Amino acid sequence: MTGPVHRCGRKPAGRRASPGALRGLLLATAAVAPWRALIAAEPDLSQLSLGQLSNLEVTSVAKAPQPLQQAPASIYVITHDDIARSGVTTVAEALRLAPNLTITQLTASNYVAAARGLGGNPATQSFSNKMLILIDGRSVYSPLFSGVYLDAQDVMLQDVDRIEVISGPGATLWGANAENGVINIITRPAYLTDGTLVSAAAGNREQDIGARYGGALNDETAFRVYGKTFQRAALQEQDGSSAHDNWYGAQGGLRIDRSRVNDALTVQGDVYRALENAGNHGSNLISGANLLGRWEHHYSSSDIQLQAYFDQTESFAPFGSTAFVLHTWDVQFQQSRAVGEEHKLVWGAGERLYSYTINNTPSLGFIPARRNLTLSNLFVQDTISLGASVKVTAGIKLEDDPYAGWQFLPDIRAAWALDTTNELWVAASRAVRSPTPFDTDVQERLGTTLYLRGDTAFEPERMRSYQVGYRGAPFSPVSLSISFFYNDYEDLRSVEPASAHTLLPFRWANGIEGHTYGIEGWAHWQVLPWWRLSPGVRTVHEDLRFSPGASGLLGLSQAGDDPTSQVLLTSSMDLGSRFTLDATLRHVGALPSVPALPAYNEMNARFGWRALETLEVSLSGANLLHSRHREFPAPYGEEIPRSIMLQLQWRP
Amino acid sequence: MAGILLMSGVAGLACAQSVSEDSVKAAFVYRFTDYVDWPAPALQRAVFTIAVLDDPQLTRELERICAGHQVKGHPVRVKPIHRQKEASDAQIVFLGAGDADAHRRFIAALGAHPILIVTDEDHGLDAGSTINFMLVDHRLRFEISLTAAGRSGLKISSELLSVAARVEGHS
Repeated sequence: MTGPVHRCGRKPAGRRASPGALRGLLLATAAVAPWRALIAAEPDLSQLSLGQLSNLEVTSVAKAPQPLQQAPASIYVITHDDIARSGVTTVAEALRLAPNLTITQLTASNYVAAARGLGGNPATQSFSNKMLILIDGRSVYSPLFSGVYLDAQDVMLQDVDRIEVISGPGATLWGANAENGVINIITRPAYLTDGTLVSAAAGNREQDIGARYGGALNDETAFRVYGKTFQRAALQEQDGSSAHDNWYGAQGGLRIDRSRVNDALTVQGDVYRALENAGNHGSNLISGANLLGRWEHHYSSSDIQLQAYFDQTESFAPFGSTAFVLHTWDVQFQQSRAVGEEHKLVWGAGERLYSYTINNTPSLGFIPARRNLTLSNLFVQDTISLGASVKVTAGIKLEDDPYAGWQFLPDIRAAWALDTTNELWVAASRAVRSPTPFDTDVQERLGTTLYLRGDTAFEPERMRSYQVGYRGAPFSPVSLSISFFYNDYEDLRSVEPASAHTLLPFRWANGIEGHTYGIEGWAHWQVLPWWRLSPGVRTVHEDLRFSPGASGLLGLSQAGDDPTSQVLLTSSMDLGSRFTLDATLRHVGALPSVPALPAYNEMNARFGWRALETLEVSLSGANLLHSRHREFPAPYGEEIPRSIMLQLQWRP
Repeated sequence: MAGILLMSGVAGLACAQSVSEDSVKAAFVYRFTDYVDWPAPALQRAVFTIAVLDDPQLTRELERICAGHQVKGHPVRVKPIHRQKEASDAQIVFLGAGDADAHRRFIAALGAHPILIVTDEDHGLDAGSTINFMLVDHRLRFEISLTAAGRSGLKISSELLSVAARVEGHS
């Protein structure tokens, strides 16, 4: 079933999952990454005002620049340094650094991100739809096709503070679709990105150039503006010929931060446009713009936050074919306060409006072609300290889904601090993947024959998740995180004949259930002051079945064609004060689909040289072990050639 | 107290950046110099000295922050110290590791020298320091003792007082 949906909408990559009620203990954080690169572009704090300094969130443990908001959950943090030292130029490639994610490159522009399995299968028009991605608090999950179009999500990577990758449910805080994971991409405030930065990269597979300028409007207010452009080469067909999917694009944006002692205001926005070669058919055009405002105020006993954003996303296939325009309006309010000595309460409410128009074609249509969808939510969560070493976090989100009505998304977690650097945690959560227009409204035709239609009776895909984990620093130069999960799914999407009497058309239904389980673990080992090794491993076993009465069409791999295992090993070296050498070896297990795609090993590496105080030169390579490799079976996956690139970064 | 920030970060609204506490502390100590007036005799030396007791990490951060900057027209020297005697030529002394009693003795022994004493401990002002850091919801704040400032002959600007989480005593 390879409908034209792929053409129309570049395939989405996100799944939901989420970090559940992450709140948490400080200690864990520190334990997860107690390392700081010797050669790092630390922000210059010497010019910050008292108000700006008062607004900085600091880490108090282990002197590591890690976020404190780590709650009892499986969270991996990709730091600013990790990104800089890896040489990656895209968000999708940066996400490969997280051992609790599997990133699959299908085409030149199309990547799929998945955690804990059920990553979708393009052969059955099934997307990686159980993972949320947020950029500075703005959700980039597409409500049309249930997933994330990673090709449309770009940032100035040099301005990223960190990427938090949370595997497991986070529905109580982030809402529906946060089933298997949540990715938070967080950029630095403008007052930490002062001055000029110019970066350029040229290699056999891509060319990039970008620039950022940051300055101060007054003692309280800082700004930055950036622009970047790129072009990336086509991947290859099995016979080595070009897949004709090269693409190029540009993006620009700005951010303004005003910081007073108890008050912070942020305004930021981006615009982007890219053209993706679609072979003989012309090019797909993707474009978009967004604007976000956020206000935070700290009172003596509570904090409030108010955030609103507008996001416009457009996609146009060539020659007036499938196209969509999506407008998202979102406003959220949140208050957190301590109640007595034992309770930390947070509650919030939010409203989102999706307004979309789809250009229907003879082969792919949505009935109706335009809709306004509203999504309301209300949540409350309490973290209770039981004695000095145990914290229990319980919360619930009520979300009014446009198709399925009110959903109850509860979550309970407990963390037990064994000592100041070691913690055990458990969690139980409920989450859903909500229906989308693609599930309910779609009509796909072959010629004049309707062969697939959506079903307004389509139910949310539901899951219950159980996790247990350990985080800490078992002995001095090693930090470790390990967790085990068991997910129980119901009502996963399947395909059924629409009527008992005829084969066609098919309709979407909720005919798959079952469970998945697996383990995730990673460690940072500071072998020597100048050398860190970071191994990471994840496994997932999917034990799915068709519900009683289901037809069993298309097999169980439609829910996900996922590798059962993945191993990463990253080595980071500071060679004197001017050179760095980093390499990541990855092993991705075989895909179970028929025919099976064998396991593969690949390696990325980067050698960096700080030639001048203001200039860094680096040579990096991706997928170095083979002249080309494949991460998904043809025709959806293409051959990915080795790439080599020279990069310059200048900060006058 | 940790909880509040947490939440915000957790819910994806508050996208706060994360920097190390020591680097922010060092930046504050450096910035304090703009808002504190020392008596003229205290600034007659060729360099402006910030002494740090037993805290190598903060010493490194201060060196990084102060590199290339001047304070009151003087180049800055960050001086790691281990004993009270070594602090006598400093304009700022930061008391890092150590117990409160030891700090109390250290401060008492310094007497009325025109030195800005900065601590980072519970009830630091009680030990006699002028500025004491505290963590409030993952953010670094500080309290000021005007009594201690007056004893050392230091003048603290009203702007700094307005930023302080708490001001104690009077000059």
